[in-house]
Amino acid sequence: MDKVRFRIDGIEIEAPPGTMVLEAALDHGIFVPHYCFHRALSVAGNCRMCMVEVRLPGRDGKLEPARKPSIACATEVAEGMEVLTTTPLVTEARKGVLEFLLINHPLDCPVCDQAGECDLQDFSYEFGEAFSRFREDKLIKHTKDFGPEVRFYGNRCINCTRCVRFTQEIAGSCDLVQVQRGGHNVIDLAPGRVFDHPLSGNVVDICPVGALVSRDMLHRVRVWHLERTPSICPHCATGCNIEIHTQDEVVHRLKPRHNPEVNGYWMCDFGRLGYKHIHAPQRLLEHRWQPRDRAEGGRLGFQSVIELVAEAIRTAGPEGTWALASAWLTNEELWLFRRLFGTEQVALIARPPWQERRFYPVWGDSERNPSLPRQRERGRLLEDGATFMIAADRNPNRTGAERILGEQACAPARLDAFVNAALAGQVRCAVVLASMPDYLPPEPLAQALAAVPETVVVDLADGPLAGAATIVIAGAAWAEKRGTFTNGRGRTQRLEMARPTPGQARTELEVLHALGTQLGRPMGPCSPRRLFGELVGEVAAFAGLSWEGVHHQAPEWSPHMAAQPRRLPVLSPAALVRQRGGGAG
Amino acid sequence: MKAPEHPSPAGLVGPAQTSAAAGAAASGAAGEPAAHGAAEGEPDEEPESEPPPGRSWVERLYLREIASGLARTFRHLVLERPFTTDYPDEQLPYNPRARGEHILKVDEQGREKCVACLLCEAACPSKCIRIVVGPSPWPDRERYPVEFEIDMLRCIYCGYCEDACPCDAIELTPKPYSVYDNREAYIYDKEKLKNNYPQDWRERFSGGYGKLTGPPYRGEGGDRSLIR
Amino acid sequence: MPLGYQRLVGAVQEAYERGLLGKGIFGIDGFDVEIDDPPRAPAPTSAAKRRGCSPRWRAAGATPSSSPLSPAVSGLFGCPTVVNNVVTIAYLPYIFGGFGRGGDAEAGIAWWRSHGTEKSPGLMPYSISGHVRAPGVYELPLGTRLGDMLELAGGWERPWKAVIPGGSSAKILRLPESLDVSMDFEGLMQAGTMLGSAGVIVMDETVCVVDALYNLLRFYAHESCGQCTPCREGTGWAEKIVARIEKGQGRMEDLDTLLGLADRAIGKTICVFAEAFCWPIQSCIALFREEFEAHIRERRCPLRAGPRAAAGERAVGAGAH
Ligand code: SF4
Ligand code: SF4
Ligand code: SF4
Ligand code: SF4
Ligand code: FES
Repeated sequence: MDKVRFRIDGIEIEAPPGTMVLEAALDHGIFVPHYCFHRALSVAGNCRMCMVEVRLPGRDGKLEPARKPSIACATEVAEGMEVLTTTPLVTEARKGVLEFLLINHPLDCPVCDQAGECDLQDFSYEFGEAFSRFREDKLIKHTKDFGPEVRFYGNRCINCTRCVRFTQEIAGSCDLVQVQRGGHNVIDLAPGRVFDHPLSGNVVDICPVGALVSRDMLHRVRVWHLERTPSICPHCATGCNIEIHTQDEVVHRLKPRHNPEVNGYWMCDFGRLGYKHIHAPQRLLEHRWQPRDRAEGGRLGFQSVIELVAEAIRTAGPEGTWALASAWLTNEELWLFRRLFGTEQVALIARPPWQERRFYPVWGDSERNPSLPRQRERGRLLEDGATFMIAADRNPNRTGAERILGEQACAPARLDAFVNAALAGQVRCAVVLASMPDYLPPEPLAQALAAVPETVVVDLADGPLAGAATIVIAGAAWAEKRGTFTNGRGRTQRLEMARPTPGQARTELEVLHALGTQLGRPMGPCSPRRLFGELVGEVAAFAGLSWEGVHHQAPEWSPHMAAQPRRLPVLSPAALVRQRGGGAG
Repeated sequence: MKAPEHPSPAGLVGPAQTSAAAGAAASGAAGEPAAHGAAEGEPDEEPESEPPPGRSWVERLYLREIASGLARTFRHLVLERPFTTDYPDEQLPYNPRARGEHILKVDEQGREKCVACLLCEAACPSKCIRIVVGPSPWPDRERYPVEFEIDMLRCIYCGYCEDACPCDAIELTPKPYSVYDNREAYIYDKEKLKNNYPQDWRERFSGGYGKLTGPPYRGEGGDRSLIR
Repeated sequence: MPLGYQRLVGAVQEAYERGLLGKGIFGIDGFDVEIDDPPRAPAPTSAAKRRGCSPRWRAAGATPSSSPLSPAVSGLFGCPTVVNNVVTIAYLPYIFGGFGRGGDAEAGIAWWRSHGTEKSPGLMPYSISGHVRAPGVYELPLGTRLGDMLELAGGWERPWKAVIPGGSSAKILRLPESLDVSMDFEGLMQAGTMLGSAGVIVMDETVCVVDALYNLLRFYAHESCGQCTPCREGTGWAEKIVARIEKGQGRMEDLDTLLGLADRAIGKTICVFAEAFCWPIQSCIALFREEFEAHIRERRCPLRAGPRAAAGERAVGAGAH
């Protein structure tokens, strides 16, 4: 296709016809402030923040100075066009728009959760004026909870309608509408609706100001304290790219990270709130031994517990030992698991598919749960033609497990085989690496585990699984690990460690490595990076991948990054240090 | 002999002259700087041995001056009030704008004015403020500090927190110090901060705006409890 | 139900009865024209602009769109759409269809050219309101002298003070200085204002210009669709300032603020609503600055004790809402 050649601030730029000036500018690192424009939504052109001076060649080919500024988000690039973003016409227009935006804006920053990542603050600081001529009473608008995840502060809304367009164009639910007119314009719920859509949390991300805030994180932290770690959401097989935001090693929220080929700019609310189990009070913080013949067990140090497990495995012998891996283990852990236990007497445990029917976009797996309707048609197309959808499979790494342990080992039949063997008394020792939140073992499995003389369970929380065990090892949550997941569409993506494991808990990688060493196997290094290297060399499905390659797949990190390429740090320094330190080991 | 504490021009001359110059300083005669100037110019001379012209030896006994000086000393001793304060039983007032320990201000109903915006915490250069934010129990505001702590040992009393506060909720009082025998006691919690500046401290440490030299506060026989 | 709405619905009804609307009009098979009931939702005035009838008309409600395309290229449902005033459409049969002249199109054009000026030929329905004895709609040739027009409408007992010649958003003119202005596109352009909708609003000396401006701004603040920032916020802000001045609580710097906000709004919005509410501000302050300053200085409306009190009536149009 022919490219249009034009200039922005003197920089020669080529872009396909139909590109808007704003997109072209942002793509080339020229920042034009904007509110209503969002790459994933239709152009509304109502905030008037993105005004630039556009000079077009006249009949004689000379550029004519513009009489008035044009909005960059709705001006298509044209051959020979000259765009200027710093002329007095533009700076004055920006000051004007900011003055208008602020006249009815409350002085809420001290109590506003957006403060610190607010476009209104940032642009006012950078492009606005330090004073206002407004002396009248401000308009008051309503504050209300739109839904379980979203609260709306009408006073702070700048009426950019991003949220309305999101519900129309991405969620398809049309839950939010703009009511009233003129200065009384305000966003409200469509009559009779509650904004409980599974994608509702995304409007909090795209709202450029603090009008839509997360009820989950309301008044909890200040965003400037948050440390951002890039990671992958583990709650379904879509594998949304996310950022984990932590303060003092406590996870406070998850935000989507832009990846056009996986999740676009979005993530679902189940994933967004899916960090709670990390800090759950039932979380296992120490290892313990609870032999079946004695009522009370004992706490154990890590080395002792590993010795105990190794002893149990030795006693049981290879014939009597089974190992169960969960679909929440990283590929590296699964690889170590395979090296320790082989692929014969192993099976896969996984969370069952979503049970809720209300779901809007779900993909995959309809044969496993036929009750889930396939609602593909309403999802918006991502760039590769897929739609943003939640996967029916609630496990992040089933595909990885299938690739590493083999299809057969992951088939339900294998788990049945284990159950039968255990109930027949042929299993002397079972090692279960679960570390899944909200996992209830199906009844036969629970019975089988209780029937095995020595059951070793690595898990996150006290629950039925840990209850059936004789040896319990405190495992790590996904946010406490480095490694890779392979999503349902076969894409391998990396997660980073956002916080250390609490108490005595250890990552499954450490557990497997220590166990192998104790059993006298040659284990080699215990670094996710090296293990991934081995994986690439040994498993055909991973051939050609590299540890670096599965990381920075997306050009931008988050919706905020997309909006402000110059501002937010790409990766928090701490995360970088961690990454380097870990990578070296 | 003790060397002069202030750097005198004598310090500029060579080591041979130092003791002589110091001797000149000790003699306390008028016109010293001029003499030193000469000493610097012509290092061979012995300027301090020359008496100032026009004074008899009787005059140079300085009896009259000694008498008048002693008279002044005794007058102060007997007639005037002493200028020293009997610290810590007596204390001078501080400038009301002096920056001492913080107080968390409260509204008419005794609720802290702070909205837990954490701006003071962000502004604090010594990172001694710790606030836990929570949704407020009162309908007229949304957030309040569930916990509010200042580590007074880390605080450098810069007052940035007061500057940063949008709600006029934190203020540095002139209360200058507190004495405890353990470090934990210096971590003030919210209740302590709210009551950190009772009325008698107010009187004690700010004896009136701008009256830096006002009458000293006379405690009743060492009221040490107030210092705690 | 508003009178205008009743009449509109009535006219549509009548057209259906006469067979001008509906299936197979004029007896031509397959020539169907249907008119839905006019929407009764409170669509803002700004939606009546050409841009309001945009590709997003149906989808997004009646708000002007910033689509770079004009409706004639891609309008309703993405099809080319012709949007014109009722006046234009009403005159078409007379001009090009030879309506009333036995279908002689040439005669129609000649008849149209026989009226008006060289550059602005034809007739125009002027809606004259305010301080004239016989307000109403007058169909006059373009280029009629303003003074003649006002005499035609019956004149007035007191001296006139100002006229808004082209609907509420046109710039105001002083009277009697401007009585000689020619009421056509070029003449009014020359006078620094515009013909616009040809709604002529006349005010006599009892009218307080500040009050009149306040009335206009109240209208605009109510009519802004609220889509884009300068208009949504600017209309309300200007209204509040002028209300304050009118109440006698103004400050001298308010006038600069008004002019400054007009500068910042003009040319920055999707439709021309910013110009519509800013031109009256600019022209009223430019022509009647002393009246604004008197309000601020005396902390009250000077006319309340003066001629207006004597006349015992309110300003034109005030309280229309
Ligand atoms: S939305 Fe932004 S500018 Fe408005 S109160 Fe919140 S932080 Fe401040
Ligand atoms: S709530 Fe936020 S996203 Fe929605 S219109 Fe207001 S400012 Fe825009
Ligand atoms: S006075 Fe300075 S150091 Fe002390 S708490 Fe306030 S900001 Fe921190
Ligand atoms: S700056 Fe003021 S309002 Fe904000 S947290 Fe500190 S004391 Fe509270
Ligand atoms: S008008 Fe262009 S971003 Fe809002």
